[in-house]
Amino acid sequence: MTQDPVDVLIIGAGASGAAVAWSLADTRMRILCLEQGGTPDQNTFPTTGRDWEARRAGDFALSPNQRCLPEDYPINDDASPIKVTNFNGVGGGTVLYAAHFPRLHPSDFRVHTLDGVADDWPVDYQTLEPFFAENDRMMGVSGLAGDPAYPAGKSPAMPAAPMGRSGRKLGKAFNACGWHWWPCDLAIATEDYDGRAKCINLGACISGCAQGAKGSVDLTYWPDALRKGVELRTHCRVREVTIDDQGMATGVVYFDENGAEQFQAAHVVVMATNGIGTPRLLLNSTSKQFPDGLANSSGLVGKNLMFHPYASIQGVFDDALDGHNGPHKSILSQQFYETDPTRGFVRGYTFETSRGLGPVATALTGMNWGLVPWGVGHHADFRGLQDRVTSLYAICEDLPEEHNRVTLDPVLTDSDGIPAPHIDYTLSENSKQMLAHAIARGTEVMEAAGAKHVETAAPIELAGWHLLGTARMGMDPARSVVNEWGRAHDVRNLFIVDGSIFVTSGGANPTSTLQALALYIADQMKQRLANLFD
Amino acid sequence: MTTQPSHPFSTAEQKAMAAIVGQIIPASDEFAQPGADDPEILNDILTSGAALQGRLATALATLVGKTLDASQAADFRQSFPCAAELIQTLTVQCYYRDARVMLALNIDVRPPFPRGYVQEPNDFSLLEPVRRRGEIYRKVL
Ligand SMILES: Cc1cc2nc3c(=O)[nH]c(=O)nc-3n(C[C@H](O)[C@H](O)[C@H](O)COP(=O)(O)OP(=O)(O)OC[C@H]3O[C@@H](n4cnc5c(N)ncnc54)[C@H](O)[C@@H]3O)c2cc1C
Ligand code: SF4
Repeated sequence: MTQDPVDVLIIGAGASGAAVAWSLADTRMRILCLEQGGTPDQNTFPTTGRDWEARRAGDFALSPNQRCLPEDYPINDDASPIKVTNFNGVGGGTVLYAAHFPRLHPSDFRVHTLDGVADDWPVDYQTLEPFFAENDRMMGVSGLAGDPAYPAGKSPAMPAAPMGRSGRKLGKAFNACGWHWWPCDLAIATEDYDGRAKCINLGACISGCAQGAKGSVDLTYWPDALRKGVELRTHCRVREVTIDDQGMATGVVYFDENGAEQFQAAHVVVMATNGIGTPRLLLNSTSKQFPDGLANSSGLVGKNLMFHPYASIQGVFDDALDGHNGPHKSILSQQFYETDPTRGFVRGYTFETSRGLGPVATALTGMNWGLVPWGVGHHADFRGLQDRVTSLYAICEDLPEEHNRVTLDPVLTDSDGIPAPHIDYTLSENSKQMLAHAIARGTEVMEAAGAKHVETAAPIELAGWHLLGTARMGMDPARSVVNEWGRAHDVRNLFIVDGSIFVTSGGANPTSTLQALALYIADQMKQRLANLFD
Repeated sequence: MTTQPSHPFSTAEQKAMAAIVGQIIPASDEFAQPGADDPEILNDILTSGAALQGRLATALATLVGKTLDASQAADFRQSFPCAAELIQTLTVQCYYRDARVMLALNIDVRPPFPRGYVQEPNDFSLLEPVRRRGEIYRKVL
């Protein structure tokens, strides 16, 4: 069935799709967003029950392959040491994210100029600055102004979330090492903010925030965008973007909530389906003009996948810390963020704390480490770990490499029969060196903090939550998929606004930058409305 | 009237499950905690693990009719590592949400929401050394 054409069709209601929908709504154009999942219901989130930790391995598992809900699509990530995590529904990844909200640094946009690796971005920090600020206001960011790891000008709207005993302990340890640390910027309301109730320290941000304190876009951008007239159609999975003989996008074919195939015509198509979903959709959109996938004349669609390899450094202490009580993230350190050639690798990483564990995670982690046995010793040794573990994660910059890529799996399909993504990914030597450095420095911090036992791991397997680079932006159509304002080089009415357009990954959580970029692209579209397709 | 169990484990499998989970987390007089083979906790394990019955059947069959000791439990763990890990996870998930266990561990017997938890206020004087050292980001022209 064919539906009336819309002016702008956005695919995906996650972090970037929501921001673009909200911004473009100013134009009063007819805007429709198609989202494959439903709208999450906070009343059913795990922390409303005593089985909250068990549900993290069930319907709130981080991996779609483990959740297997109707709105999920399978991902073949067997050929990657890092497995993909996501959330498919209104809010996208922000429903499950930890809401750590650092920006990339000015240097991240100039890596080729500064370090001779990868490519510079076609935009810079300064250009994005007003959009960072607008996004911070919409998402509701808490934190502490004055972080010397950033240019002046960041001023979070709300006071920083509690560092807790674990944050204080690690902060003192960073001081003892003479290294930078700072309270995290978090998209978490620490005061009642714009209709959101303040954080009550449930400590389960990555299982969804039942309190609604966390800035997930189903609670931030979407209510406003809907009020401004944007239409959001849920349980609609797009199979392909269609084009006409002139190579212009005409709309999309999708399966509606009853599984019926539909065609939706549109004058402009905006893709916001993330660094895995976007290349999957482009590669599934083949035609005479684009036999290798839509907007893929460069051959780069799906290539240069970047994840941010994570290292974990977990310490066991004698004294009681926070357990799971409080937002996951409390402080960060960017001591090793910028390139230092003496370290044996280029670029760098952020340390972020991860507060502590609930009782189930404590027991399972202890068993995994061999510190909590089966049998009579279980109870005493459990008590030795209860509320006594805290962690540092290192978020390492992942440089783009074409062999790290998303293709279509020859066998696997989703429930609508659409070919599923297949991931090939290996760690680079640079990443391995960086992970080793992070583990050594992180262990020093834990020891300075007085940890009596330290456990490390790298890369963390279930940490493919930053999905970047698979439809990169750039000025040169031979070396990029979209231009400097997000328009596909090959298709003049197709835009991409999600994490796939990142040129490099930086060494920090990406969502703040990703949404600022989406707002910037929306702004460029608004400024160029009269000649958008020239 | 008899009620149907809300899980597919046979009587023999239930006994085998009780034997192994009681070895993973036995009752403790010292800490006044039940074992994971306590009837209520066992029932939670069997109900919550209903979907796993097929994957556990072969391993559980080797335990039928046995009274386990620690060394036999260790043998089971070595012979059936995947099944043992599934049972371990299930056991821990159910054990640590039992009200008696939570009380014994000084954990409030309630879900985290809606009451939440209290955290101590921040002390930003700790940041003095960081502020003193000044800017550390790389300037870009
Ligand atoms: C557990 C976890 C923790 C995280 N923690 C942090 C953090 O602390 N800080 C941070 O910065 N980032 C974090 N992230 C990452 C963050 O969630 C992502 O960076 C962000 O959501 C990406 O935005 P996006 O718009 O690119 O895609 P998404 O938010 O993933 O949105 C994509 C949307 O598109 C929909 N979609 C996909 N394909 C189709 C289709 N064919 N048809 C219709 N709809 C489709 C999906 O259902 C989804 O809703 C975390 C992620 C996870 C999973
Ligand atoms: S810690 Fe705060 S933000 Fe996180 S889940 Fe709890 S209330 Fe929500």
